[in-house]
Amino acid sequence: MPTSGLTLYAPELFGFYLPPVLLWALIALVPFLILRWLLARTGFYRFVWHRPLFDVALYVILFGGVIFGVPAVLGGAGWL
Amino acid sequence: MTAARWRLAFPLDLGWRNIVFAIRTAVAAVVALAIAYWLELQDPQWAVLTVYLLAQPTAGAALAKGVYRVVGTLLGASVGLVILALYSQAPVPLVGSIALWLALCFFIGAQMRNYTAYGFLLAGYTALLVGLQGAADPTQAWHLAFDRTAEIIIGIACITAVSVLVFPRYAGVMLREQLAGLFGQLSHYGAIAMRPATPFATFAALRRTMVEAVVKFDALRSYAVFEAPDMRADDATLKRMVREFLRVLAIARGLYVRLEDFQAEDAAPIVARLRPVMAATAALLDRIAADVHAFEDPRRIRLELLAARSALRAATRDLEAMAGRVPFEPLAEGVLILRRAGDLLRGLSMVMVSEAASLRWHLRAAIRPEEQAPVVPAASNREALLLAVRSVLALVLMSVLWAATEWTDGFNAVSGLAIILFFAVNQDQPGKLGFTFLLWSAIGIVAAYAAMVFVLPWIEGYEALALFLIVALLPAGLMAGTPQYAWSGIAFGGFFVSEIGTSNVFQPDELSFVNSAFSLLFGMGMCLVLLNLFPINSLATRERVWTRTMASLLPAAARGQRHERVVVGEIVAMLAALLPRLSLDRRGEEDFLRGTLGAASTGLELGRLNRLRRDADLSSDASALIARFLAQFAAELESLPKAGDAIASRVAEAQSTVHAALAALATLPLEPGSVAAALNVRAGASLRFVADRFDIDRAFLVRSFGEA
Repeated sequence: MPTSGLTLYAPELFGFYLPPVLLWALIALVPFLILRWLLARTGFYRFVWHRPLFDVALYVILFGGVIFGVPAVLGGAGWL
Repeated sequence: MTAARWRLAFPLDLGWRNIVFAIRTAVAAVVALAIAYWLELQDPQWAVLTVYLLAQPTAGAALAKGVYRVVGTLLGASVGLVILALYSQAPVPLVGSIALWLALCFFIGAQMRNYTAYGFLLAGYTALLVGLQGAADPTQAWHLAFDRTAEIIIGIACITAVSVLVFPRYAGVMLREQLAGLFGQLSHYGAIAMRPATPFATFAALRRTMVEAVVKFDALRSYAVFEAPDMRADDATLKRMVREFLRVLAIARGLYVRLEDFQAEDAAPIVARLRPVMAATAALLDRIAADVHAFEDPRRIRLELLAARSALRAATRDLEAMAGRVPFEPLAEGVLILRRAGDLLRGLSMVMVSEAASLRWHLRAAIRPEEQAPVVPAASNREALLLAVRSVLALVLMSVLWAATEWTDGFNAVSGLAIILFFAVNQDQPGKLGFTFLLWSAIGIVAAYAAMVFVLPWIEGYEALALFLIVALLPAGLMAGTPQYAWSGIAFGGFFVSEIGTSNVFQPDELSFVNSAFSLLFGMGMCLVLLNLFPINSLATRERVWTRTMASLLPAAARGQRHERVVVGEIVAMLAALLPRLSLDRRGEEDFLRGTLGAASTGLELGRLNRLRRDADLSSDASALIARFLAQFAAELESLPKAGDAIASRVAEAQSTVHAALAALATLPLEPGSVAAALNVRAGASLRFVADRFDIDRAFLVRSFGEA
């Protein structure tokens, strides 16, 4: 079936359905916070021109990674 | 013990004044809600949100904010209606013209100070709300604009009424109390600076407290002048008082450092003359600090300060008379110490004079106001333009997202974004404050949801609802009245009471509640991200102050092109304008404050040197030496702003110029007891002061006051 890879999971909170993207955004936040802490610890940010811009870019990459990468690793066609 | 620890971790002000403030604010919110119900206005929550956004512990602040807010709201609502009438069916020109209006409001608002700025920002905000919400239903736009305006005005009227009627605390009274306290603290600080044995940590901690106190006084001054017309006339004198405070702070610090160095050196006769007079001065300052009635008799205090200054002058003359008999450098340092102590006393008596002029109007006729200091806007033109561009960018981005996703609650996201945009104006670190605001808004919304689900169904009648709201709003009011939690309290109280579901008929709609809450918080969060991506702070203004000081003001003082008092006045005025924007917990900004004050005093000493070199009694050798030094030093200072990466070596060159001049002056033969010798010592004291800057304020001189 063409839709077999499409598993949109809408989390539920006190009877409200939340958008799936919110869940992905929260999942992406975990590696982001860890990476940001590590980069700050190792002094990597000294080489970064605009720290907030770098952080946003990093988060967007991780966010994309969660959306497209995790299902691919787990053997699905992806959430989208 | 646990209570004490809790108080330490979360120090809410639980004094009776703050409790009264919390209760009266909650009552104002409930009354505003009742009036909005009675007039059957749509969305009465705007009236209560207004009450909380306006909550201020002093009456003057509420009145001032209220007037500007009414004018701004009316202006914004009319502009929103005009834009709607023109483009209600065309989204692109609609958002475009609202964005342009917002940019204009931010551009003007950022350059104004205090509530004028507030009025302009509100004009932008109201136009945005009326325009965008009205576009969804253009036939209701007039109603919407009318209801919104009426609600905001009800909120303003209620909060203003309670803060003026219920135990009003006028900013003018507080100002007077604070002034007396600050003067005492400052005298104490001066006394500490003059005591040789004070440990550095104690001195530094006290200095920090003093700077904060002066910043707070300056903020209160700006409230107070809005409150009463008679105070408005005195704003110039009050501003001068703040500048005088800053000068005293700077002098005291230099004095402390100099005394600290002086201890190590061996110069017995100098110390023998210096020590008693400094001890007497410190004792006088301590006495003034302990005297709670000092301000009731300013004449007596001024006479005492005057007597102490003549004692210092007598000691200076004695030291100068020692020239030629004792080593030159310690003598010059001793003279410098006495001179700075005299300057400190002069600063304190200037505060007394200004106090007499501004707060005691019956004495005003006796004192002529100072010449108008140059007006420095809160933000420069370029900074204001950047702020305007940033707000437009944020609004357009959010509107594009709203349109692209056809999001039903997009409007709430835009209003959340607009609320956070207001914090960004003239805030150097909007992220920190904005995040706290976002967090407490979220907590308020969650609390409102809980109340809506668990409490409201059991409540019948407005009286019971009012009672519940007053009790539930108390913590928020207590927070709003505690300075360090003011914005958190306002966010918590405001969003709790406005989200609790206050339409005229109680119809809990959980789905729309959750949707609107999420979109509001999302808009706030997105705005915070944008603010961090596009930071606008006072760094550029700091750079400009530095460049102007180094490239033009100090050389002008060294060359005698401008009187040194004018130069000092201009530097301190530029600094005073930047003061509210400096976060002194960041090292770079603290360095900037200290360095600028030091530079102001350097200007004073350079001017003194320049007049000294023309003195007929000075030996021709010394005169030529000083003239050479001044010309070279002025040129070196002028070259600093263009030095680029080589600035450290240029500063080192300038430092060696000062030290070379000082060393050369020390080797000149002196005839003991002559006038020429005394003048040499005076010049040595000035040079010593300038040389000290290179040790104390090096970070400032090498222009490293940017990122901490």
